[in-house]
Amino acid sequence: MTKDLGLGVIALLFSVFYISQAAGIPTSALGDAVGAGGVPLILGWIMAGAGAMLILHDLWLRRAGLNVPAPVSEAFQEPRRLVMMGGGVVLITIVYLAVLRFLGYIPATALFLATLFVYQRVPVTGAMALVSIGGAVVLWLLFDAFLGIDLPDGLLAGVL
Amino acid sequence: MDALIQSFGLLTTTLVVPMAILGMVWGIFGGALPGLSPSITMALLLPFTYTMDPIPAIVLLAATYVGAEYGGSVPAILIRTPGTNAAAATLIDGYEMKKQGKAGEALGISLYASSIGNFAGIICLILFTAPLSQLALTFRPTTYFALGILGLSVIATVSEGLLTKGVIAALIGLMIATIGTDPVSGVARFTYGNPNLLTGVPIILVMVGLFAVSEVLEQISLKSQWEKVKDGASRLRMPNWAMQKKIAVSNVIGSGIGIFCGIMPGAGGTVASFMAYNEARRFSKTPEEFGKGSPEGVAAPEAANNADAGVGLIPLLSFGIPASNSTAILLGGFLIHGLIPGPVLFDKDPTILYGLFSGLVVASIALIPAAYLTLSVCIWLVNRPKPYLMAFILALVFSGAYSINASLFDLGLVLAAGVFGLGMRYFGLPMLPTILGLVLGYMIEANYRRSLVISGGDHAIFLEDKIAVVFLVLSVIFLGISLVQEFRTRRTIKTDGGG
Repeated sequence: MTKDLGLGVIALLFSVFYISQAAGIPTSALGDAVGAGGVPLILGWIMAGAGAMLILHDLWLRRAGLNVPAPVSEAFQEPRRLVMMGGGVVLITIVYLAVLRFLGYIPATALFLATLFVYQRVPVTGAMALVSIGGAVVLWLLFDAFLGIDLPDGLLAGVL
Repeated sequence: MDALIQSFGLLTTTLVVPMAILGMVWGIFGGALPGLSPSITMALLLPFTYTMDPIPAIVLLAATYVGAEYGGSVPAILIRTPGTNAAAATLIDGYEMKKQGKAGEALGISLYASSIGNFAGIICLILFTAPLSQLALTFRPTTYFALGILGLSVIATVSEGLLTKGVIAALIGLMIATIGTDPVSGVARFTYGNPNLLTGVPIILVMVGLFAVSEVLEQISLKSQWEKVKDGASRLRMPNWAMQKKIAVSNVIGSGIGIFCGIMPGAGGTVASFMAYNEARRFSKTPEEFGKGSPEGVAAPEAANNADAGVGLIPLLSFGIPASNSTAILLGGFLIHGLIPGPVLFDKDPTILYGLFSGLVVASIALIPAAYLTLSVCIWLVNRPKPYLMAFILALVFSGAYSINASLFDLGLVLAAGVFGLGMRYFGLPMLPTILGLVLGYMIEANYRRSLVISGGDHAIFLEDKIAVVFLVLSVIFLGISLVQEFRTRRTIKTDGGG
């Protein structure tokens, strides 16, 4: 399946879901002729049309033997690497967000930076640890001390 | 005259000057880093502007935009990696000059041409914004609806790739804009009981996620590393009188094309710089030097993308419609402070715009000394290992997003937008139509429904507004031309394929 065909199928399936949700939007006594669900319904139908057009376009190209893969960015030439690296960074970020309030900004961010460095194959050295901790402290100084944003203290409550 | 006095007053009484210089320096750094576009550089600053007064905040963002357009040429010339898309044309002759040992001269020409382009763009901005916004004051709800449709159709048609993809991208933005409380009846839509969504999806967070997080995710997935600047800090050398004469025509061509492309929504600095490069070669006395280290080949695209940056603000400031990713981020800066750019802002609170204009003039003056002072820092930054830079950018993005509402939900939203943005990049969906759909969604829906409330549900009201009719006809023409072009391309492919 080509990317355009895949995108067309996704757009079509999503439009079905979106239209079903838009149809369920309640009408209000204060509402106008179009209603709260009117515009979403229009958008859903246009999306369905666009998805169908993309599918038909791809099938037409395939039938005519003209389906040339579009040039893609280097990152997407190796989908496995993209999933491993991009997906890994997303997971690391989710864990960071989950522990941010509990650990506090400085420890959580230092760990976040260190994990990202290691994940990108930066050798584990004292300098790397120093950059992680130093980076977290610099960011804390910038946001909390300088801009007055109340970042979570977590384990360091009472110390900062 | 009043405006001039007010602008001068703002320079002395507010933080306009330091913010213009700071923004310029930050923009040069951001532009110099491959992978950080001007819009990402600006998006990283957005959270900082929350705690600032509106004028310095807007000036900071706008000066960043200007600085990044120049900064992009630094790695293009030194390491054959354009810092911004628009600098890709500068790379052709800039890197050739570097190979000939003329890196400092190429950087100087780029800086000189950028300054000229900048001033040309800002002069046009100051001259045309007010008259156009006066015209927009006569707009009715029907006109605004049609203007929104025109903005979306132009962006969808000029975006790279298939028209259908541009339309899908715009629809995604419009659909996100429908999340939250309905603008007319107050009914909650697509919130699924989550109170965080009642006020809608914050545009700023989506922008930061789509632009910055998705870019970092893509960059981290790349195997290749940036080339290092091996020959130490190149000494920047401004062009002498003879060289200034040699590149004068290229500067004029570049500035002219930059102004033209800036007025056309969606064309952007990249199109402008490549067009300027080609035209400069056509009018050059030594076209054979192009591609082999021609100074004119460096000057024309730099003048063009910098002129485009200034003029590109006109649609935003006059009509409230951003014409590029960077101006969409600038719009975010306005919205943070409860300001809606457009005719009403110019009419009710012109001080903001005078402040912006004077800030841009200061930034343009500061460009040359800032470039001199920051060059060695730029080279140092470009030479940092990519993993360090990417990790710091990600930490900066999430710290900034947290500082807006101290909400973990917001951070999740930024991450989700980033992953979604990566998916859009994978499928070749352009980002700008999505952002524009998100920004214009409310305007389009609210004015469409207000118009129908006024007419009692009669759609003929749109035909009674002549300006609206012109806008809608133009939208159809843009879409039609785009479809015809696509059809012709297919026919050409078929003919070639059939061979």
